[in-house]
Amino acid sequence: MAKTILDMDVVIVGAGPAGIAAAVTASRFGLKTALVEDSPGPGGQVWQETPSGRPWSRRWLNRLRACGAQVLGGTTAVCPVDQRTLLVETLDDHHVLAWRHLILATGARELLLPMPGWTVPGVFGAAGLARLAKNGWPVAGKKVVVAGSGPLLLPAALTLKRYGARIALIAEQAPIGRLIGFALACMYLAPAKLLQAWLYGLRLANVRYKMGCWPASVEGDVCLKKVSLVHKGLKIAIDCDILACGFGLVPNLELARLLGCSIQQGVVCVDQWQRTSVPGIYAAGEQTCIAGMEHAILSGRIAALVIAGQYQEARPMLGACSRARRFGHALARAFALRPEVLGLADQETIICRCEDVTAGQLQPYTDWRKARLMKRCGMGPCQGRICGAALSHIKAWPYPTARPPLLPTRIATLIEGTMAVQKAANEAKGDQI
Amino acid sequence: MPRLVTVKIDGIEIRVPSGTSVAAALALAGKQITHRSVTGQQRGPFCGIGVCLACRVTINGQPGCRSCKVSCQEGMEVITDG
Ligand SMILES: Cc1cc2nc3c(=O)[nH]c(=O)nc-3n(C[C@H](O)[C@H](O)[C@H](O)COP(=O)(O)OP(=O)(O)OC[C@H]3O[C@@H](n4cnc5c(N)ncnc54)[C@H](O)[C@@H]3O)c2cc1C
Repeated sequence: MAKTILDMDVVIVGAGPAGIAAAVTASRFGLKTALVEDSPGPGGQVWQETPSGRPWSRRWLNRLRACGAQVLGGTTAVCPVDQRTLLVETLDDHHVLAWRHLILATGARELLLPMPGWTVPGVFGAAGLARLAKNGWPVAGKKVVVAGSGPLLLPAALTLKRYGARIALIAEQAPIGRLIGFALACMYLAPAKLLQAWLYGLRLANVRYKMGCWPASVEGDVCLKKVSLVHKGLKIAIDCDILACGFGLVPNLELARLLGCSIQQGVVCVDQWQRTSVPGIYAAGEQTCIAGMEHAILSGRIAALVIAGQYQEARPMLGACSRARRFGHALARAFALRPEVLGLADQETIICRCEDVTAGQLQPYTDWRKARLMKRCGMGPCQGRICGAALSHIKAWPYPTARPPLLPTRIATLIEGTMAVQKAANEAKGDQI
Repeated sequence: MPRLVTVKIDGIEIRVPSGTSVAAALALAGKQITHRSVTGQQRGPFCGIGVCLACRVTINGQPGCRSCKVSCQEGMEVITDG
C-alpha cells in the first residue's frame, strides 16, 4: 500500500536545542513545520524530559508544545527518496515527508576510542551512560571511573552521582596547562560556562579529578572488573564496575553526507545564515560546530528566520553566534587529543565492534574501501559510526561514504515510501498533461 | 509516584516506571547482555544514545530495535539474544 505524503514547508531533523529553537521560530511565521526526532520525545542530548527537568529546558519544551509544529517522536529519518522528500520510520510505521526547506539538526555523538578490553560489558560512553541513567538504567551503588576528555565529563559524572553511582575518579586526558588557558579564554567568550564549571566543581568536590590522566585498558570477561589508567607516566589500576569513557564529541554527519551537503574539517559547511551547499537545506547546532547549547539555539533560530525571510531579526544574532563558534574552537584546541590516547589499541583489540575486526587485521590496509572489501570493517549495523569516527582520528582516514538507509530499515518502509513518491510524481505529470 | 508499566523480557514479566527505556528495563531485569557479536562475544549497551546499535533486541517481534531509544509500553515483549 503506497502511503500519502505529508507536505511541509519546513522539515527539521533532530529535536535538540537547535531543532526545537528552529521549529518554534518557523512556526511563529505560519510555516507548516514538522520536527522529526529519533528519541521518544523532544529535547536532544540536554533537554530530554525527565521528572527533574531544568527550568530553561522546560521553557523551550513548553514553547514547542504551544507553537503548533508537528513533533514526530520516536521517528528516525532514514534516507531521502528524491530531491525534496525524506523517508522516516517509527517502531511500527513509516511516512514520507515532502519539504520546501530542510533543517538538519542531528547533533553530535561521543568519540569512543578503542583500547584493550573496551568491548567488555560495563564500558560505556561517558555522557551516554548519564543518558542511560536518566532513562532508568540502574547505576546506584556502582563504582564508576569517568574518563576521556572534554567538559562533558563533569555533568556526566554529576548525573551519575545523582543517580547513586560512586565516582572513583574523573580522568581528563588534557594537561593542566591547556585547561588553564581555556579557562582564561572562557572569561571573554563564555563567562557563564566558567561559572557552570565552577558549580560542577563544587558539587563534585569530594570526587578525585585528575588532569593529564587517561584510561589505557580494561580487564574483565563477562563483566568489567578493573580499569588501568596512565598518570604522570605511571600506571594506576582501579577495581570498579563501570568505565564511562568519552573523548569529546563528533558531529552526526551521515544525513548531511547522504544529501550531498559539503563537509569540511569534520563539520557541515554553512554560511552565516546556516545555509549548506545544497539549495533549500540548512544545518544548525553541533553538526556545524561543536560549541554547546547556546550556539545550537542561536543557529537554529537563525536558520528558521532566514527561511521565513526575516533577515532583520536574524542579523543581530550573528555576532553572538560567531562568538559561540569561537568558544567551540577554543574548546577543540584545549581538549585536543594527545597521541597516546589514539594509540591505545594493540593488535588484538577490536576496532569495528559490529564485525569484530581487530587492529591487527586492519594493519595491511590504508583506506576504507579496502578495509571494507577485505574485512567488512564498518559494514555492520552501526554503518561505521563508531569505528569510522575512531579511525578518522587514529589513522586519519576520511569517513566512509554514507549509504542509504542510514540505519537498519524495514523493507516495507523502503518499498512503500518509494512507491508513494513515484505515484505522486506520476500524478503531478498527469496534471500537467 | 510515576505510573508503572509491565513488560515481558525473555518471557519474564517486570514492572518498571513509565518512561523507562527498554535498555534500562533489561538491566533492571538483570540482563546486561543484549546480543552476541559476530564472533560470539557477549555485548551490552555501549554508546547510550542510539548510535552504536549494541543494545539491539527484538521488540514486539521486530528484530534489530535499539533498546536505548525505545520507552517501555504496557504489554511490550522484548527478546534478547544474550
Ligand atoms: C550523550 C551526550 C550528552 C550530552 N550532555 C550534555 C550536557 O549534559 N550538557 C551540555 O551542555 N551539553 C551536553 N551535550 C552536548 C550537546 O550536544 C549540546 O550541548 C546540545 O545538546 C546540542 O544541541 P543540538 O540541537 O545541536 O543537538 P542534540 O541535542 O544532540 O540533538 C540532536 C537530535 O537529533 C536526533 N537525531 C539525530 N539523527 C537523527 C535522525 N536520522 N532522525 C531523527 N532524529 C535524529 C537525535 O536523537 C538528537 O535528539 C551532550 C552531548 C551528547 C552526545
